[in-house]
Amino acid sequence: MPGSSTDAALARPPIYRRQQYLGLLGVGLISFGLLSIVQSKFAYGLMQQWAIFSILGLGFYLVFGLGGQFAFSQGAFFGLGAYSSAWATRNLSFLWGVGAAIIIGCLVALVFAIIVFRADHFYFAIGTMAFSFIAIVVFREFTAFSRASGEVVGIPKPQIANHAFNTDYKLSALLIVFMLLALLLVILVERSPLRREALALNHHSQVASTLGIPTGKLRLLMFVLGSGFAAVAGALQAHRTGSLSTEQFSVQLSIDIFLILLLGGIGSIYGPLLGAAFVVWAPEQMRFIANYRGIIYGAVLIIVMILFPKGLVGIFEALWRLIRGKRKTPEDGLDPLAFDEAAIDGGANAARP
Amino acid sequence: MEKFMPLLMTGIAQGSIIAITALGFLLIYKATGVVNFAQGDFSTLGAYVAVWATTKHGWSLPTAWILAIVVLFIIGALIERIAYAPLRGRSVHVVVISTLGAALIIQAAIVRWMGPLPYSLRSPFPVREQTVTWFGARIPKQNLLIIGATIVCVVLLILLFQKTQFGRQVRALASDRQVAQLQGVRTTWMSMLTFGMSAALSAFAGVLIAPTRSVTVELGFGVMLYAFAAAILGGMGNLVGVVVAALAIGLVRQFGAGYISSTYAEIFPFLLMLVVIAAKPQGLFGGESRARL
Repeated sequence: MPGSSTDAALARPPIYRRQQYLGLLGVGLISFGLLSIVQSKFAYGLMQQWAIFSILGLGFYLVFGLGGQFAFSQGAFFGLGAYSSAWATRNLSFLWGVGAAIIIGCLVALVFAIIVFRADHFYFAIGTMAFSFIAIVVFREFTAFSRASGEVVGIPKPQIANHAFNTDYKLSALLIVFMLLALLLVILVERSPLRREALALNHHSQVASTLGIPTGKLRLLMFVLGSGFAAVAGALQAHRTGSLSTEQFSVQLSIDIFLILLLGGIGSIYGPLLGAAFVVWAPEQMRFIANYRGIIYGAVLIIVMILFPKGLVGIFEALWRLIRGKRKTPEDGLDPLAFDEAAIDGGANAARP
Repeated sequence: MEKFMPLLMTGIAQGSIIAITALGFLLIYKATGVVNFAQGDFSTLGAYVAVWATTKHGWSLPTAWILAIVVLFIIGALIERIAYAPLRGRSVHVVVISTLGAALIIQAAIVRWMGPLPYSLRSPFPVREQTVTWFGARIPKQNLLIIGATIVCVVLLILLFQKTQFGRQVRALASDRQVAQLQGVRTTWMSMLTFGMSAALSAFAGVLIAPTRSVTVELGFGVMLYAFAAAILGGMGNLVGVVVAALAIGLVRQFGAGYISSTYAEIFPFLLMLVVIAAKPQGLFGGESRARL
C-alpha cells in the first residue's frame, strides 16, 4: 500500500522520539560499568542500596509523578514487601518471596485505595500517612514470626534455582537487573497510552473524563502498580540486609522518597535514578552532609521546589537544549507539579453518575 | 467506674491538645489554603525552647512558656517568608512539599542543638500536689490545666475569627488574596501574622503536653497526625466540628487503650478516620469539602 509507511511514521506518538529503550541500554551499561570498576565492600553496598531505592523511586514516579497522588504510603509498602518476603522465604525460595511481596503489596494497596477512593487530595494524603502509621504499629506488635518490636533476623540471601547470590558482586548484579526490569516496566507504561491519559487526568481532570478516560480505574492502577514496586524493593532490601526492624520503614523514609523523586526530577523516568543516587551517595561521601543530614535534605527540598521544579533532570535537559539549540516542546512548558487541584475529587465525582 | 473516670479525663485532655494543634493548623489553612506539615514540629520546638530555658538557664516556668511562644511566633513568620512566600502562585503541592522540608530542617536542627536524648519539662504544679481526686479517680492537674487552656483558646479563636477586623481580614485573604489586597488588606503582613500565630499556638500546645510525656523530637509529630485526622473528621474549616472531632479522637484512643487493646491503641483513631473517609468523604460535619492541597 503506497504511503502507508509515512502514515505509520506520522502516527508514531511523539513520546517514542525520546528513545527510552536506548536510555534503558545506557542505564544498564553505566550501572554494569560502574559495577565492574568498584572494588570495596562499601562501594558494593552503595550500588545495592542505589538499585533498591531506584525501584522505590520509580514506583513513586508512577504514584505521584504520573498518577498525581500525594501519597506517604510508599515507605509502608516498602516495609510490607520486606516483611511479606521474610515471612514467605521461611519455607519457600527467594522468587516466591518476591512474588509474595508483590501479591500482598498490591492487594493491600488495592483495598486501601478502594477505601479512600472518594477522598480528595488532602484527605488522601493524610489517609496514606495514617496508613503508614498503622503499618508501623502492626509491624511492631504483630509477632507471629518476628521477634519483639518487629525485628526479624536471618533472612536468607537471594537464591534462584541452584544459583546463590552470595557474593557482593553477584548480589549487586542481581539487584541491578531487578532495577532494569523495573525501569523497563515503567518505560512500557511511558510508551503506552497510560502515560498521556494519566497526564490528562492530572492536568485537566474534567476534560479527561469527558474524553472517556476511565479516571477512577487509572488512579487505582497507578497507585497499585507503584505500591507493588515499593513492595518488591522492600523484599529485595530484606534479602540484602538479612534483618529487619521497624525503624527502617518510618514516615521519615517516605519523606526521603519524596526527595528521591523531586530532586531527581518528577517529570522524567530517569529522575528517580538520579535522586536515589544522591540520597545514597551524598551522605557517605561528605561527612558534612551526614552530620547535618536532615537540615540539608530539608533545605534541598525547599531549594529544588523554588528554583528547579524539574530537578536534576531538568537541569541536564536545559543544558542539552542549550547545546543542541533546540526549541521547547509544548510539554516543556508544563509545571510538572501543577496538578489540577480538583483532579482527584473531580475525577472521582465525574466517574460516578 | 474507677477505670472510667481517669480514661475520660485523660481522653478529654489529649483531645484538647489535639484541638489546639488542629486549630493552629486550620489558622494557616484558612488564611492561605496551605496544609502545613511543619505544624507538629512547631509544638516540638516550643517544648524544647521551654526545656532549654528552664533546665539550662534556670528560668521560671511562666517566663519559659512566654519565651517559647514568642520564639515560635517569630519562627512561624520566618517560615512564611522562606518556605511559603517565594512559592505563592505555584501549585499547592509545591508549597506543601516545602513545608515538609521545613519540618525536616526543624527536627534535624533540634537534634543538633539539644542532642537525641529525651528531656522532661516540669508541670506548673508542686510535685506533691500533682493530682486531684474526683469520683474516686486520681486526675492529674496538668490534664485539667490542658482542658481549661484549650477552652480559653478555642473561645478566643472563634471570637477572633467571627467578631474582629483581623478575623474578617483572614477570611478575606482565604477566599481571594487579590481581591483582599485590592480592598486594602495588608496581605503580606496578614500571611506572616497567621503563620506566626499558628506557630505560637502550637508552641503553647507543646509546653502544655510536654509534662505528660518525655520531650523528644517526635513529640509533636504524633499529635500533628491526630490533628490532621481531627481536621478531616470535623470537615476542614469548621472550627467547632474540628474541636468536637479532636475530643472524639482523644476519647477513642483512651477508651480503646483501656477497654480493647493498649498495644494497638494508637491506631484506633486512624481506623476511625479511614472509616469516615470511606463512608463520608466530606467529614462528619460537612464544612468545606475540598482542601486546596
